[in-house]
Amino acid sequence: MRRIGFSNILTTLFLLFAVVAGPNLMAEPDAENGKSLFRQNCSACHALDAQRVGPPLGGVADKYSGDEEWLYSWIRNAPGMIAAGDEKAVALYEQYNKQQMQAFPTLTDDEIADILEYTTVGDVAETPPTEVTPASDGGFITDPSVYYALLGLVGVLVLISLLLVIITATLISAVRAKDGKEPLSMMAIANQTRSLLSNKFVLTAIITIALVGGLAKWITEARTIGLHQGYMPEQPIAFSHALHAGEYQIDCQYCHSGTYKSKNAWIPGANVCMNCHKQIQAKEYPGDAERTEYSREQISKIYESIGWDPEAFAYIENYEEKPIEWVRIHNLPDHAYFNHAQHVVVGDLECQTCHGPVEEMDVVYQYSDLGMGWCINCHRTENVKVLGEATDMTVADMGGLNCARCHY
Amino acid sequence: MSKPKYWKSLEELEQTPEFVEQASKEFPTDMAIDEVLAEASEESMSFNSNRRDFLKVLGFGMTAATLAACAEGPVKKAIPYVNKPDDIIPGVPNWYASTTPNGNPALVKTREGRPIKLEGNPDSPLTKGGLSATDQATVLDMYEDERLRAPLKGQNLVPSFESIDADIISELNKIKENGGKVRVLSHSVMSPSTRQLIGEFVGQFEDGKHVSYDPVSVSAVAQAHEMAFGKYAVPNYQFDKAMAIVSFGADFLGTWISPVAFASQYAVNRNPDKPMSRHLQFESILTTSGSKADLRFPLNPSQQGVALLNLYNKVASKVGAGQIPNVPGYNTYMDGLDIAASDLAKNRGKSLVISDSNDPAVQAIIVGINQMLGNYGQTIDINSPSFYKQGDDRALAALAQELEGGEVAALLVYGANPVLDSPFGETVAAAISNVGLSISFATKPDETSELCSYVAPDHFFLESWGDMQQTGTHYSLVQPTIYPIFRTRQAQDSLLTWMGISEKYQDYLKRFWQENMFPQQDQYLTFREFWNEALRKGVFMATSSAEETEYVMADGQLAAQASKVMQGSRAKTPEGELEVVLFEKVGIGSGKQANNPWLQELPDPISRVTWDNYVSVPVVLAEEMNLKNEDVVELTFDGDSYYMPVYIQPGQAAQTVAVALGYGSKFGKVTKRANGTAKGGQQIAGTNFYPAVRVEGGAMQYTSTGVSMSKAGMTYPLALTQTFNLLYDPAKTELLVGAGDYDRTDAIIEETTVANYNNGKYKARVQKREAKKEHLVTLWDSHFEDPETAQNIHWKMAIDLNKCTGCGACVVACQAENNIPVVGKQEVRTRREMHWMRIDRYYSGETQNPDVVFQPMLCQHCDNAPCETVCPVLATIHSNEGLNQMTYNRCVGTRYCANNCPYKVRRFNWFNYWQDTKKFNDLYTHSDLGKLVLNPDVTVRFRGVMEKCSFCVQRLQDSKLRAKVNAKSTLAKPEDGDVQVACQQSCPTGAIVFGDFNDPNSAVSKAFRQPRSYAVLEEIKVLPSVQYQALVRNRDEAETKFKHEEQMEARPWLNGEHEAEAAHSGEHA
Repeated sequence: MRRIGFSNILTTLFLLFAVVAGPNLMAEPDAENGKSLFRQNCSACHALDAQRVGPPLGGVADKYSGDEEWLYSWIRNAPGMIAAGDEKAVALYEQYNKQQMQAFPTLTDDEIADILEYTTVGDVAETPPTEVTPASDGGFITDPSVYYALLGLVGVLVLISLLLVIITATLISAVRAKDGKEPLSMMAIANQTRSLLSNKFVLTAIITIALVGGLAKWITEARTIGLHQGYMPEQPIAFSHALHAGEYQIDCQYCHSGTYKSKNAWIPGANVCMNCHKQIQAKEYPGDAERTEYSREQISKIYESIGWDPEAFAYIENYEEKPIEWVRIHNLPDHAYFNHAQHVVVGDLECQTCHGPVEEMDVVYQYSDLGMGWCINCHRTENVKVLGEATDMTVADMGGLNCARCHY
Repeated sequence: MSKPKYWKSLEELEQTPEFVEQASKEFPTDMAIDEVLAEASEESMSFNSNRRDFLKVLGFGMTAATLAACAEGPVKKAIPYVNKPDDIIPGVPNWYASTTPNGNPALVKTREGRPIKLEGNPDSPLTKGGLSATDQATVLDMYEDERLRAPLKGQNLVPSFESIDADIISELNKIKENGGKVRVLSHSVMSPSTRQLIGEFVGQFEDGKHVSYDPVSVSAVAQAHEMAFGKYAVPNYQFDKAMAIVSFGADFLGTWISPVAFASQYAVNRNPDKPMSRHLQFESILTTSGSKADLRFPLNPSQQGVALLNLYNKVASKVGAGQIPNVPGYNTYMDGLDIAASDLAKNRGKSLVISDSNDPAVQAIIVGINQMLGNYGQTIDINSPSFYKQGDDRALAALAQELEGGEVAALLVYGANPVLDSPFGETVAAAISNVGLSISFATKPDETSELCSYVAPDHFFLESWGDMQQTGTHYSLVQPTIYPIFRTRQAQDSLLTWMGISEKYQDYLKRFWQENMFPQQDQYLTFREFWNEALRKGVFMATSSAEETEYVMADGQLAAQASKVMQGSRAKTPEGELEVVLFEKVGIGSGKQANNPWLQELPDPISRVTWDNYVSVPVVLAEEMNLKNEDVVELTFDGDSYYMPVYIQPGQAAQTVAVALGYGSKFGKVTKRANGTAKGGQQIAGTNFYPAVRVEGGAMQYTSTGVSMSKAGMTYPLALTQTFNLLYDPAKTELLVGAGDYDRTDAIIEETTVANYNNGKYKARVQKREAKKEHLVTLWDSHFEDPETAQNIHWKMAIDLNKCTGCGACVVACQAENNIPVVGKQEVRTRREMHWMRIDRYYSGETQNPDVVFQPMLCQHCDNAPCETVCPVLATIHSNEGLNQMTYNRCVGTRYCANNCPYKVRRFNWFNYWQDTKKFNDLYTHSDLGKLVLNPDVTVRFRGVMEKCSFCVQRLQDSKLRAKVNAKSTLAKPEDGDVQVACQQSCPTGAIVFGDFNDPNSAVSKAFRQPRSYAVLEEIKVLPSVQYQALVRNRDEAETKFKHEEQMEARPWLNGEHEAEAAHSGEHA
């Protein structure tokens, strides 16, 4: 299920507003429409404020003010004008390394006006989308160490009060002894307590409870040694799976193509990133220049790795490539063999079965505990599919619990 | 018919008390532990501890463990390629066809751009996928720490080749102007393009020459063929066409010329279900070939010539040719020469006579016999010769003279180390400083390169381009499989640069193939297609276009050679005189790879000694001189004396001692470890024996007479593995008995003769044995009677004892595939060698000439595995595919399993061999470079766990997964032959068959159905998944009987028991 985002609400509000206020604004160029047209048609080669394949277009209408007719015809049919030998057109063509601008014959005058309005106005400040915070557990304390701390505190308090009782009792009885009085019956109580404590049965019971409880706790804790469920390290590039796999719906195996062929799913090389990021130098967050700049910084780390000059729009020659050192999240021990192709191609499993809702993770964390019990459990309980057909066999039925399937 | 007794060592045969004591223990912890401790440094291995220390350690250990459990795991990096090459899929190996420096076509397995394993190339019709132990081990040579990182000028590292190129070119130009001799000295260059390139290089100079030699030369063979056919060439022997093979000392299955190709050919006719070839071996030392021979006759080396002349005359009289006059009469015992002559005469045109002698006159007689038998054009191809060894001893001798006379202006040493591995070492070493320009292309410092003015280090072959020519029609290519690790440059590129040619050798090679090989085929229309296919396949078979050569040797010429032979030979070695043989070991070879720890730790197939050189002494002599193994003797011949430890070798000619070549280099960490010194600094085992090679009649001689030997009163420890891993209780000699032609179910070795195999006696006894097996009982249910598991794969292996030559290729293949550590000599002595696969060598018969059986022994993956039932933590359990699984992380090291294994195949990690740099110095895995050879699919085992053969489970899993991924179905199974285990893949003779036994049409099912198939120690009914096929010797009963009667005479104390046994199975009495 997808969350109704704040931006959707904004859009709805805007549409409502547009319907109400629309008629009054019809005559004026519409920057918002221009923006969407710009995104559809122009953003592959132009940005408002940066050099891409073509020049930045921010304020281009002002630049050509008084020459609108030429500008309109240039936008509609640049190649034609160059071919026709229009002086200005040819000069522009030469200026930008003979990169020809595509023709847009279908754009109407109004649409061009909208686009130009957008280039003039720029991005209208929007309220940035709020950070997606991970769902909390509804106020329950999740960290078990808090309980231990509390328990320990209680224990210490009990001890202290016991001590205090004993000290007081001793003092009182000492005073009474000095006065030649009978010792306080408190002593009798203490004696009684002592005898109760020295009772073998009680002692055994206490020790047994402590031992059994401790051991049970120790065993459950010991089982998690080496498991790093929830491990969420900081990565050298703030890459968001929520953006790429979630918002943009890029298939997992577009980047992690090893899942089809190899035991390794592998992290894609920077060359795979460059398939898109040659063009996309930053994620534009309209109105939030800081955030846009942050995304630009992150993407520029790819360029730094592979040696891409975004200004010149070319690879730097003889560049010494710098590999990106990602932090490995899913670590299987060396003596365990796992094969992605086997599970994805033959077993027809979804990535999310083991890796969780990666398409919702801004920062990826280890979703499953990846312990042997977890592997075995699935092998025991889940039925396998053969050529897409469900069967009543489990992996265990086919020898999937043999040691040497995974350990050699 | 008598029953052979098998024994692994003389100690066992004699049942010495030490032996019985030692053999009764599974883990000889008391054996050499004192020595180990004494040798280990005091601080690192103090075993003096008390209660306080114990408590300290205990407390610390618990705290550390607790803290370690609490600590966060280390941060691991995952670093992807920046630009992932299209053809590299991380996690999936890439295979490239190439050729090993020995000239054998190979496939190189690379993982993420680094070569980790070599396998034979099955597309080669010559080697048929076989690869030798030395070939396999070359992959480790690439990751040697000793390799030169950059060029040297006057023994100083210089940053780049540019800084030496200018100097060298100007010096070469000076020679061009002023004149002067330029010599390129190399071992045999098998690359035709390199030969041409060197020819072009030396052609620039007025007096330029390329001299090639071989450390262990067969120059005499080529010289004899020059006499007989007018062509200096070693012919191409074809053992697959020979039905009668008579070898005089030539170990063609182990070391002689091209053993891999010969072994694969030899195996063709060793199938008893088809007409079987007959192989006679006359030899002084026991070789692998001699071990496989149907009949073997010990012969002192100086008698070889006389024996050959007699054989010539005996054959001549049978085929009606002219006799050689004045030959002194001679015969071996049992009239071996008569048997040989009659075998040969019966197989005219289908026989082969060869000799290891490097005396051209002796080889001329060999040529004469083969010519007389009509073998040329049938089993011997001189038109399309062999190119494995092309060296000319005469040229080397001439060069040595030129060097001595100071006539050489420039000497370029390519792929050779003449100071160490030629008899002219001293001459070359002394003269090299007088040579104006001396350049070595050595990849690592050696005795010659340290004297050269420049060292231009060559690429390793896995980093190089190249080609190889094995025979007149068989070519193969070499291609780079890794980016050069160091600042090295291929020697050919260096030559091209110095010639002022800007062409790269890669292009030169392509052009060479376009001009020379492309026209020799009609399959491909464009060179591009042809080249790509040749590179993919690795081998190229040219259509034969060799010119015919004629036999031109006149009878008179032969007679002249015969008289030379008579002069150099004698019918009897005088009483008390000894002769010496300088031989090549199967693992160490000529010594080029002596720095390879895999090869040093590979037990010699015959002696089962690792790590050291020794003097091999015949049994009779040892008894006479009262010598024991490991005694040091002083050996004197040709005016030099050497101190060597003794190894007593059954089957060695009575007046011959033997020492191996290839030891004694002072370079290399591993080599140095094999160069032992006794207390007092006396150099002992690691002596270099090349200076002892004589040069006579234009050829190097590897034998000497007039040797004297005396006890030196010292001992030197040898890492001798022959007494390890007994499959039987030596106190109960009954189990020591092999089945022979008896119907025992407790056999370890089974053998029979061709006659008995064919006349039904063998089959009758197999039936009796099968009937007996019915009564064998077990407590356990079979894993495979359940119909559900019967649908699974059941992996099984069949090993043909008839084909196994004991060469050890499988042992090294297993070591490379499964990350098996090298443990070093001291650990081997303590019986802690780690090889998962070993080759047990059994003797039977008399000690002076025993029969030999090789039995590869590995985990038998028993269906009722005794190891599984004793493991307290279920670390070793059975898989539903019949594998006996070993799970390292469950193992707590009780070693009960090893104790309970009847086959003694389990290996315990006594130390952390991979990382323990304190106890083990300089193991290759201690360096970052050496670690690159590890197979990432196999766990590296830690101290304290048991390990053993896994049937290469990583390969089985891989083949199953590939079948499933390809079919996208989890029910898909690999086809028969899709998966080859490491030992099987590299076996040159194809002795190992592996596959799914539940598939009735698989090769392994068929092998199991053969009557020869038997399981070792069937009586204990552990149902092993490995079965052996009985050895069949091609000799008749009379010959066998003779041998064993002699045995009984020699060892009368065995007689009583023999009679008891004979009564036990009445029909044979």
